[in-house]
Amino acid sequence: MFAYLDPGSGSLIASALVGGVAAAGVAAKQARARLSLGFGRKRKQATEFSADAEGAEGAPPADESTPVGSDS
Amino acid sequence: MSSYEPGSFRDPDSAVFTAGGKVLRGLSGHAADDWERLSGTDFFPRLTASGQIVRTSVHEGEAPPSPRGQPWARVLEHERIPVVSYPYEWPFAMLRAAAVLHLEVLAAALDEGLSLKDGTAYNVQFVGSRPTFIDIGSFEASTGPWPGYRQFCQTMLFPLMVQAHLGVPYQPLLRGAIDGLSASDVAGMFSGLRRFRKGVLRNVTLHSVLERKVTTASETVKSDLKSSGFSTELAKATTKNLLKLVRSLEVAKRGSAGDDQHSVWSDYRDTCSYSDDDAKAKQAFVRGALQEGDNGLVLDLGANDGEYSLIAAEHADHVVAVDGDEKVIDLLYRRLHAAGEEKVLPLVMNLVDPSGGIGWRNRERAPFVERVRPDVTLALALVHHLTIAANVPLPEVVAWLASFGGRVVVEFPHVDDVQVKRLLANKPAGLFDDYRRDAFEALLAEHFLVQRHETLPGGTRTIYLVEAKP
Repeated sequence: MFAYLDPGSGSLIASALVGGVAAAGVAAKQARARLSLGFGRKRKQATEFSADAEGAEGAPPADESTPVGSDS
Repeated sequence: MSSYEPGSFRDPDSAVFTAGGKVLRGLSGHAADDWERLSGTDFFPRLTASGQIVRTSVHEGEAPPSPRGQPWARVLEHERIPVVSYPYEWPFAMLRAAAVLHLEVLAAALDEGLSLKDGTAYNVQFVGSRPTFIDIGSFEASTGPWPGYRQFCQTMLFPLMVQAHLGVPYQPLLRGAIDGLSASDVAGMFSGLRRFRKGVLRNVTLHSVLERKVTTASETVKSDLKSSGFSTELAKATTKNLLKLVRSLEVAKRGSAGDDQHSVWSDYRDTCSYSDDDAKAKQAFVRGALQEGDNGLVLDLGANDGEYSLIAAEHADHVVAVDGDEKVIDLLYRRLHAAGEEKVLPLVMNLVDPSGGIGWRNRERAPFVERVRPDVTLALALVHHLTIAANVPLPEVVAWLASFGGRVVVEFPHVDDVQVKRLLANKPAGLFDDYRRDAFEALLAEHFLVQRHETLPGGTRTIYLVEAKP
């Protein structure tokens, strides 16, 4: 909130990927929304990542209902 | 009389300055709130007591305004670091220890609802062989991803990986760029099958792609990650995985093709030309020289395995052991660290090309000679290397020794010494006719008061105790 350092957008996502499988799901959603890469269809989104999120040890499941990158 | 530390301007909420011999840190209102949170945690007193975080207290005295002209909300006092050193002067085991400490401090902070706002190697200093986290201004209340990840990669993880996986020394790279190695630069080094080395795909390859492709503002990505479920638990998982990776790089280094575990100097003690009598006489001379006068800081130039640095440590408050050979200094660090030695700071540096000032106005990170002002300088088995191997004129070598001030213990191997003969054999005859004992003594007399000298029993080396003329 008071950060003086630009952490770098790509680096933030990369750090999430380093965090593990659930984070990878979050990051992939982010990347897809941002880049409009268009892999997978919209309606498949919920199942695509919920498995990842459940598989992560000690990590809370990602909130699938939250719209990601809706401003892009 | 106070002055701001030139390397401390980047964070507007916090700056370090010295006043009346004290190391102080001013904090803005935001930063003062974070300090209150930090001082209320369990980990902070625990890690300061163990020396993993620099000891810090509240300073009640006067303080100058911030470099941006604002009054400080709070001023802290830090325990002084005896000798400031930088990552481009650290051997592998030291940078790795610094990276591990940084991550451990982050992990402890995350456990209690705090995070670190950056992740640079410059957040760590060494007291002897003990790494200590110095950037108290970095702690902040945060729940998002770690904003310091990129800096951590650039100044610690990537340098360690290029050394461990590729056998490429990182010191010249870090010295060449204060922000370290970028993901895209390093990705180019890990081409082909190399990208499958441990930790490379995620931290380097993917990281560099994401840096290139993701153009959304960082703050937007941060809030998106948060709303997508990126909690503190995930930041903890990132930290845990990085710790595992950094710790594993030790093994990778030992097994890598670029590291044969030997160097010209790493076997020096076994192969050097000293007889036992010479070694004993030399040790006695050095001990005698250190038994008089002020030995606050001893600088051991060309320290090799640190034999004389450890002797100096018996008589001095602090010792800096410098050598150009990374492997011998790496080995020395491991030995010192295992012994819990906090007086001797081992550093890698080519004496013919010492660290200069880098960063903003070449002042952000000070040159070696400004950071290290010794009371006593040891230059043992060094002069012939500088003069004959590195072609530094003898008058220059003596003037350089005088520039350190204080007392100097210097050894002059005569022209008939076996090591001098070996070095001369690599050069055309007649080039170093001025390399003579009488010429050396005349130069010493020009710059120093010679207190005493002794020729070692073997008869081919003379050792001098001299004091710089006022």
